[in-house]
Amino acid sequence: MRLQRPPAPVEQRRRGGSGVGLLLPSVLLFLLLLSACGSASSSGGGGGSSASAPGVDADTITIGGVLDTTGPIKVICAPILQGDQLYFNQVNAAGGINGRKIKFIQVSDNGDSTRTRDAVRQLVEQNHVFAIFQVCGSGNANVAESYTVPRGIPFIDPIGGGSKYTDQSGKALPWVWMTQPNYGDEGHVIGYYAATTLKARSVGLLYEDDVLGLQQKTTLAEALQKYGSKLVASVGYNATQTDFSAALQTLKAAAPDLIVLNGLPSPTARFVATAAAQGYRPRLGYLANYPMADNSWAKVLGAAGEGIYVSGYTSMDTPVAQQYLQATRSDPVFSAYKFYGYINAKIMVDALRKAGSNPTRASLRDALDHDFVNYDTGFGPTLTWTPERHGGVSDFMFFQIKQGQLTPVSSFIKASAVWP
Amino acid sequence: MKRMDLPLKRGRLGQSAPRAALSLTASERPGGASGSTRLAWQRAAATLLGLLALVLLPLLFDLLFGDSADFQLHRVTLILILAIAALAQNLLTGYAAQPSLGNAAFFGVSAYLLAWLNSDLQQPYWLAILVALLACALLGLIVGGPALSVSGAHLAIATLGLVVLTGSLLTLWDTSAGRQSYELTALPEALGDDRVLYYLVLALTALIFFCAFHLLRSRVGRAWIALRDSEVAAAACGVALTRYKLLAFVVSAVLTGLAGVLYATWGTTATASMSSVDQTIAFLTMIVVGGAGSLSGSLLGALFVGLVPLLLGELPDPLMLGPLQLPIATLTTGIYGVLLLLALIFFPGGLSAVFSRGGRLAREEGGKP
Amino acid sequence: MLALLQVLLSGLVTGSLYGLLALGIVLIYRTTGVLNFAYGALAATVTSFLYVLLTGPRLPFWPALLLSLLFALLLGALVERGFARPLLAAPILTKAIATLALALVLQTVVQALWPQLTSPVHFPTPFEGHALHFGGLYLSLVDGLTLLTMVLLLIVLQLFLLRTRLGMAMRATADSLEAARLMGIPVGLIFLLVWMLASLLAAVAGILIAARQTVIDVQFMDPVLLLAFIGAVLGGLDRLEGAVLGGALVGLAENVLALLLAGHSLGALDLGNPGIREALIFAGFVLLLLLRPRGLFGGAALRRV
Repeated sequence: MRLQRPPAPVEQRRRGGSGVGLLLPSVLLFLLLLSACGSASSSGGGGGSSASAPGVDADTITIGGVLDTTGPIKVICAPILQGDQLYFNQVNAAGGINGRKIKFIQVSDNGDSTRTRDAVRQLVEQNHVFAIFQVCGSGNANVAESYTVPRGIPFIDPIGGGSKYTDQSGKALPWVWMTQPNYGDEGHVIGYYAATTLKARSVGLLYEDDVLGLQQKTTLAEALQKYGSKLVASVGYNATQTDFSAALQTLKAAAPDLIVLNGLPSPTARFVATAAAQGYRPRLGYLANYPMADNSWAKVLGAAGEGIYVSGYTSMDTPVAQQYLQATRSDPVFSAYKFYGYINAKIMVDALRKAGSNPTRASLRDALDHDFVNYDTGFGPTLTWTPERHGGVSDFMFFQIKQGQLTPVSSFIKASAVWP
Repeated sequence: MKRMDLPLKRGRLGQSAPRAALSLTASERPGGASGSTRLAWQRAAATLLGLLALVLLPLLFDLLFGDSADFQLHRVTLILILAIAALAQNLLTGYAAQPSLGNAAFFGVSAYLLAWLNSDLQQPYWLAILVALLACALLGLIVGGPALSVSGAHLAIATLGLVVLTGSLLTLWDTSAGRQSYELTALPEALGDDRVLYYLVLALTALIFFCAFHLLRSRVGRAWIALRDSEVAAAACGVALTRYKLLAFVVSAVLTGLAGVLYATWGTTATASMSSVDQTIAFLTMIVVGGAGSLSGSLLGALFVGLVPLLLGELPDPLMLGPLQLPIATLTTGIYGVLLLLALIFFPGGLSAVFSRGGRLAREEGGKP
Repeated sequence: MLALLQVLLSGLVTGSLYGLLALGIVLIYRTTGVLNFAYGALAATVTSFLYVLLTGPRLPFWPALLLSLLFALLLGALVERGFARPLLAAPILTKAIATLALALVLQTVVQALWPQLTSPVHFPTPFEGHALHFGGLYLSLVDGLTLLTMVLLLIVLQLFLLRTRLGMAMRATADSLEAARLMGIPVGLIFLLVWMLASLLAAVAGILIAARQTVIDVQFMDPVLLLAFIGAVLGGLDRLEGAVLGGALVGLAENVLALLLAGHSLGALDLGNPGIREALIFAGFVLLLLLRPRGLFGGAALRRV
């Protein structure tokens, strides 16, 4: 019988040295040294601050955010971070807030909500931030909230339409303020617009297959029904899908007047490309929802994008938008995510300003709850926060792609005006 | 034996078997030489010392870190949890040599069962964990059975497919329940204290490693090593292949399940990405970097995979290197990849090989008998 | 009926792309024993390079394509020498993890060099907007080119491997390294050439996928890779024809399932949910492997005693 390999030479059968024994203490030492280095480099933000206002000292306000810059959603969160930093740098260059500069510390949770709590704890317990500004990802934001709300830490702008800002009974969560609109409200407005202005008798929907897409499917269907139209077909897709021919065939078979595109720029663009390659286009074309409201998407579509409607909640003809465009004129393409970061940073700075010259977490909360009624965001819609209402923007307007550019074709429509 | 210029050892069907790093050391050989008894005492003493240090760690952290000590302890807890998962993968892939990449499925399923039983069905935490572990044992049996007939790269890819399948199913469950991740809302109050969690995890880890140490020196361990070295020879010597292979699957599944519930407790949430290719990569990286077939390797691997990304994340962004400004946030993944490659190129037998002379020889020989 | 045919056609094209990737995977696996998880990243790197050539210096398509394919060969050689060679003696699991590390590094390098690819961008080709029509069926120009390329590549590869000395040397190395060495085959050179060839195949697949989707970003090959591996495993991981067939099967299954399930519901569960389709494909894969552990088209398992 031949063995599969020759027996190992004797020299190899050495004793494993005092391996394991030496191991644990050296591992420990290694651990301690490295942790100590990490702690030393980020012990800032604590000096001179008081118990009710951690992160605030004589010349700095330190805030923190959890944005995935290393994992699966970095294409969304990294540009948002850039937008944040752009605005904060502008404000600091102009003197800061009430004489204090803003310091924004970002930690990445790798897009994994099992790591988010650890990331938020780092910001709060190691970096001693005053408030949390932005946690990227709905699931991530929800986990962060379970840490910040019981501890009375203000949390502004949880990013992601599925982020909670109300508790189980529908009451506003006391320490969370949402800025962005949600797909539910948008679904109502799209349904209203498609039925009454575009006069589409039948509508198809291509939606991102998760909780958010399903939310829009529900609200779109009910709004269409209310205004005399109907959702005749809906097909889900996931972010990593590469082939849309089956989706196309299914929607085509229902012969809708208009197809609503929900969710992500890349897959929806691919769907349009697939349809164009097969010579199909609904009678009234397509209507994409707000993640697609930027000229980069129009550019990606090329000629197939002409005439497509897009829903959005920001307008480029506003002072803040113009300021942004001026500051980013050397960017190769317009990034809607970076713009999102910019406009939300503005809201954060305004809130910090309103918190007074000696801000505390309580004073910030009061400012957010009482000084933001019909607040003009400066980029189009208004925003209202009250102690009972912590939800985000719910005004939407419509654009149409003309010659590769998004052109406004409506004014802002309030979701509360069209539903219920 | 003449050294060939390209020392690549492959079986008939392209299957390579891990070599020198897994050769029997004197301590693994039944009986062992007399000199190894003194060695065993040395190792035991040193291990106890290390354990003592870990027990006293919270006090040390209080001195070093002040009010962020609890948070730092929280991070060490993660590394211990990862070590359990690494050990589980090691027992299956390093010792019993089953190239099964399916552990992430158990990782996710056990966490979801915990979340379901504890948060939704309001069952006691400990009962939920027990049920989750039993389920993992059963699943381990179900996966192990068919795995007997598939081997090599086919088993690897098949179990990877199983992981993705499980991830899809968990995601479907999430979507139909209207949630993004499964939050654990009914955890025992005591576990909210970082110290309590740390000591619990430390006790469990120490217990598991202790048991693993003895298991590997028992008949079961010897059977696994025989399996790894040559299945045919083992069968010819009367080792019941089926029984021991299945045992490896079940033990590995239960340990991974335990790591899963602890991880979900640590992060207060369970996500479908716990059963994903990325998670599988993390498990494999731990044993490959630490050293397959080595208990201390499991710890080292967990240290690498748990700590290095955290430390890279703490680098200030942008990083100034003289006049050069590096956008660190976007480079951390690449840096991690480079570090990993370097570790693999310079320590093909794993980091644990650094500490054992057998391993050093393995490196010198280029990892080949 | 027409819808089904359309979907089958599309599935065939998708399948041939998976098959092409599976081909490269099996090629590397058979000759060097490496399960190359960085394969998608290699394809993405070359495709990104082509994108940059097309949009930066705005080179005409065909010269840019040629340059990119040359770059692919260079990249393959670089990876073989700098990465695969030092790890040659490592255990198989180590090599697999190393390829994953390589993928991380490649992706980061691409992102750092060409940050515009972090967001989805439009991939410009001269094939856009053109389609062939026959009978009610549409075949876009890109799809047609994909099928043509696949057929040509397969023929050329078969001829190369069966009729040329180099091809035979590669097959000999794949069969038995020791025997090949004993026959005087310069195994080191063969390894280099295999990686270069596989890199070329990956590049072709990546570019075709990009042309088909017209939208790419730095991670665009990620979802495709696992499916290609499944195709390779179904094909048995030992014969090139098996790889192509396996890939084709996966592509067809994906599309046909999508069509069959869309619009139907099981109670409250929407069967058209892509998650269900994905779950079914992977469940089917696992079951098929249970029935045929060596893959659908794989050879019988031989064990040397």
